[in-house]
Amino acid sequence: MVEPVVRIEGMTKTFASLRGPVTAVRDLSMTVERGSVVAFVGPNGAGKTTTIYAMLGILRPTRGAITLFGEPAGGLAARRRLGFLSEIFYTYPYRTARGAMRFYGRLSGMSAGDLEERVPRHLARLGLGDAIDRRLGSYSKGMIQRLGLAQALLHEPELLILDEPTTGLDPEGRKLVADIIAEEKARGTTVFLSSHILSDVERICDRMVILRRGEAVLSDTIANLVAVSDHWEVEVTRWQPAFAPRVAEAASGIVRESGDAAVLRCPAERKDDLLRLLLQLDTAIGAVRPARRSLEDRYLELVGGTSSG
Amino acid sequence: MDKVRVLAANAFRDVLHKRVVYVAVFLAVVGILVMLTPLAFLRMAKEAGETKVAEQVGASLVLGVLNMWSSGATLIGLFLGATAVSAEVKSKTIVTVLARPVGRAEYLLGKWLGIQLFVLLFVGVGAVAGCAAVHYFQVQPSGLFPLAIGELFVDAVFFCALSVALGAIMPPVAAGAGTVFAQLMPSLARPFLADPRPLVSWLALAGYYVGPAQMPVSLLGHSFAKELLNPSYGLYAQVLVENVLYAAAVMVVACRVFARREVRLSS
Repeated sequence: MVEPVVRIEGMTKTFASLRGPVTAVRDLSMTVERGSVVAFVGPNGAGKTTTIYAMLGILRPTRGAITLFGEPAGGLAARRRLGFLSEIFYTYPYRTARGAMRFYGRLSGMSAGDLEERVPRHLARLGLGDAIDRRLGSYSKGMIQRLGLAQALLHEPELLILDEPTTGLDPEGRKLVADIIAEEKARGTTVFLSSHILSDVERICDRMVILRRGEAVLSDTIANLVAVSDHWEVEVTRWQPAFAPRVAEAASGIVRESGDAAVLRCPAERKDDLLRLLLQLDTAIGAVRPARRSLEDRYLELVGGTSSG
Repeated sequence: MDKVRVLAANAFRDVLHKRVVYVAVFLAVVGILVMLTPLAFLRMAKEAGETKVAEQVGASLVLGVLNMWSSGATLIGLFLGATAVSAEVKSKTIVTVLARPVGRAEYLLGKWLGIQLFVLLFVGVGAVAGCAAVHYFQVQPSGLFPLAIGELFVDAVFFCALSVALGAIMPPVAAGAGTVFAQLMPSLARPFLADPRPLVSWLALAGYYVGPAQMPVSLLGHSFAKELLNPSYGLYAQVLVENVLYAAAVMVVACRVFARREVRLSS
């Protein structure tokens, strides 16, 4: 059996505080398979960053264990194979982008030759090619964040851990990051992505783990999450707005109405009733399919509408 | 070792971008300039042919300047050392560094060496200036002078290493205070060594030996003041070596403790 890239088993992290112990993560278990892109989602204070810091060995779990590539999290062997970007990339403002990249590359054990070739390439990939020799103090927040992603990619890691990588980025920057994650996925890189941008998650991730108050409330594939099995959608033509009150009992709602076409939604148990009614009304049924909901709807349903800030 | 070198270079560079260091250097230079006010008196003594008086004034000037510079180095070393890790934790730059395959011991050693290099260079400038002043004022220091200069460097290593080590495992103020306390511990413990209460004398003994070795005489003072009758050069050199080893041992312990600790970042 292939060992997952990330394995978290029963991780609990409790911090001591003056008001008593605070449990940031409670009995979290999950795995991340090689080559997959997993979104780690939850409201502020859910324990996402605590989990990531424990994966990096910066914090130690109070209970449970984390392994990366089968090695204990935080060990040199595991850290050699990962790239990390924090929510806000904190670096040294007096350095240039080239200098900062060389510094981080040298810490990853890269040779001078590799750095010479890869630093300009990765900076250009993140749109920083023209600012390579500018001091970081003069960089905008978005540029700093893109530099952060460049340093995480520099040593071409097998696992990317990205904590809110699009913080401070404009839509163009967000698209760039999403594209790069997609490229990395195509290259076979495993990506562990903490994000609040659910549209990006839906587009680029294979799986989503939702964390609420330190506990994983859901872990499933994106495909399963957006497919709602207890509701169906029926596409009809020859539709008239006057039909709406007549189907109201069977249909839970009208998803779309345009001219003589409409898409109706109904609970699974009322599907047959709705179809019968629609036939009686002489509409033409185009398609009947399981309804889909946006990831955001599903997320809000699970975390109880808590702001995802 | 390459990572330690990279981290040391980064720490050295970091120091060069700290405004507080330039403020401290400026204050040390101002203090020295104030101390040089007797220069006019020295000129008058020379013109009056009072060579003995001129030499004494020159000697006290050199002594004052070296003491002032050394105190500046100690304070800079203490401050930079005690805040070395906490500043990186506060600015969160430590996260990206420790996410790389960098051992905690490598990180701490790199930090120490970078700051230590700066402080040693600072002491070096003072030592060169002190030697130049000795030559300029035509002062004849005793044979202890080279050891006294060596002591300046050893003190710089001691304070810097201890404060970096303690700063990695406790808040910066406690680290600075702890370093000063460690330096004073043998002197504080000595009066209680012969205490009739066993517990007190044992604690005093522990405190005496846990602290660094104490120099029995003021090397710098005796370089310019009355010469010692029987200076024990071997003993003085041994104290200096012991204190360097003490600093190294503390650093080894700190590396081990730091490697097992979490790095708590404020949200």
